[in-house]
Amino acid sequence: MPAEDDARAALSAYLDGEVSAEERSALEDRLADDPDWRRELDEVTVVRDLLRAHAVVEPPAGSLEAITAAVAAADADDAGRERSTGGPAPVVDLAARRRSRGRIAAWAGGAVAAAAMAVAVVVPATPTVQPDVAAAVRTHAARSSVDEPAAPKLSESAVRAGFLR
Amino acid sequence: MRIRALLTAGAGALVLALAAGGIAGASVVDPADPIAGARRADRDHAYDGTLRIAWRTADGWVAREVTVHSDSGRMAVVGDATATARGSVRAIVDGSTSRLLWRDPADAGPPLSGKYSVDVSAEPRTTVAGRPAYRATLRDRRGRAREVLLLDAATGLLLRRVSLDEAGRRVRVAGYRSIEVAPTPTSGAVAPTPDAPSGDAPRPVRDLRAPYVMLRRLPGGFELVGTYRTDGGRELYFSDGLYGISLFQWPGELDRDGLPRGGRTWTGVGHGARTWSTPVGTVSVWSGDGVTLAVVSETTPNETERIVASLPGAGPTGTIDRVGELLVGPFTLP
Repeated sequence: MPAEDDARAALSAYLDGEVSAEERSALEDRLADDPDWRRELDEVTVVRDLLRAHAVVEPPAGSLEAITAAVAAADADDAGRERSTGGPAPVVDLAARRRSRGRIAAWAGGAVAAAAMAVAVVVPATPTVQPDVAAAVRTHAARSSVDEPAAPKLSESAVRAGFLR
Repeated sequence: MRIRALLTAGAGALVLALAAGGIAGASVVDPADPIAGARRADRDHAYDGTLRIAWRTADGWVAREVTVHSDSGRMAVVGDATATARGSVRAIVDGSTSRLLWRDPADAGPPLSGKYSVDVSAEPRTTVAGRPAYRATLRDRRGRAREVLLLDAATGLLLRRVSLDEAGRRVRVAGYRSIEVAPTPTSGAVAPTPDAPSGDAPRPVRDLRAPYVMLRRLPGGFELVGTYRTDGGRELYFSDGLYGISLFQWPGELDRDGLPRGGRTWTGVGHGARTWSTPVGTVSVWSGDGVTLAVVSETTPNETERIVASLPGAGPTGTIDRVGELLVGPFTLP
């Protein structure tokens, strides 16, 4: 298991489509086998969505102080844990990372707020999306066909009839 | 005397054979859940056929034909594209590209009996593509026939499926115009499901966090069956035991320039949900509160519209609009 930062970097590159076919295949095998990696992917996705959705917002009054306090508290908590265990582990795997979720969440929140403050403007901007409606229809038909005799549902996916009134 | 004895013995054997055939035929239809029974029949038989699907739109009926090759649960459906199935894996080959549509075993949905009653004919009184078939009628809680299934008397295969709306009018029909069932499955007659990038298929996720909206049930008795990660968004799959509904969500406001042409707008639904009729069912897309949503529904357009109207962002106005009205309202000129 790579260190936490490596895992996050790999998953972020995967979500951005910046990995080779071989890396993508290896990563998907890992995701299929390891629930920790899937949870990590969930979290990376959420943070990315947050950054996108709130890239241009004005932070609420007092948020900086609250974030600073939360991070300081998390650090103090970690320092206490290190004293009791004789020091930090040299490599942090995903399972260990689950146990320090609070600290990660605090840092993630800080990162989001920091990014927001860096580009703070008064009016929030919402990203737009062009959903692939045809792909959604096929996905639904495929899922639905698993519960039933498949031919009728698959036939609906196999014809190009367009989107009608 | 000898000839008479032979004729008597032959007639007796024929009666026994017919009786045995009748018993065997009745046993192939699952009276509690004929759809599940037909799915099992798919797994146990090999057949080739021509299937005609037809569906009603606002401008009339549209129909298409495809060919079906099935062998022991492996299936290829050939139309404009080729859809394939193997176990729970679903893929589509369109020209030179293939796409994995589904790969995980499906979570079990609510039982059919929770919302529908089943009435199976005692005898195979009708025929489809020349084959005797039992008729199974699925009725909703108000006793209205919503689905008619014609099931092969010899194998239990689903030969024709007719979906009805609340008024008893047909809205979708899928039935074989011809079908040839092999005496025994041959295992391997159907091309294997092509390899495709596994990342294309939705993957289960345990829970949803903002900006996605989590719902456990929809109006009309639809219960959440599974939650999945899809390309750039999430899918919530619901079922009422008979019909499926997918609720797709993508972060961001809808850019209507990217929507398919045609369709119509449900003006009764806030934000003007854009709606189309497809072979799969009714599709509706809208956005509100920073999320774009799409419903793909196998139930009737009327029921789908009621469901869409109940969903986030599809009310009279979204939360942001309501807050805006609250702030601006007192200062708005009459």
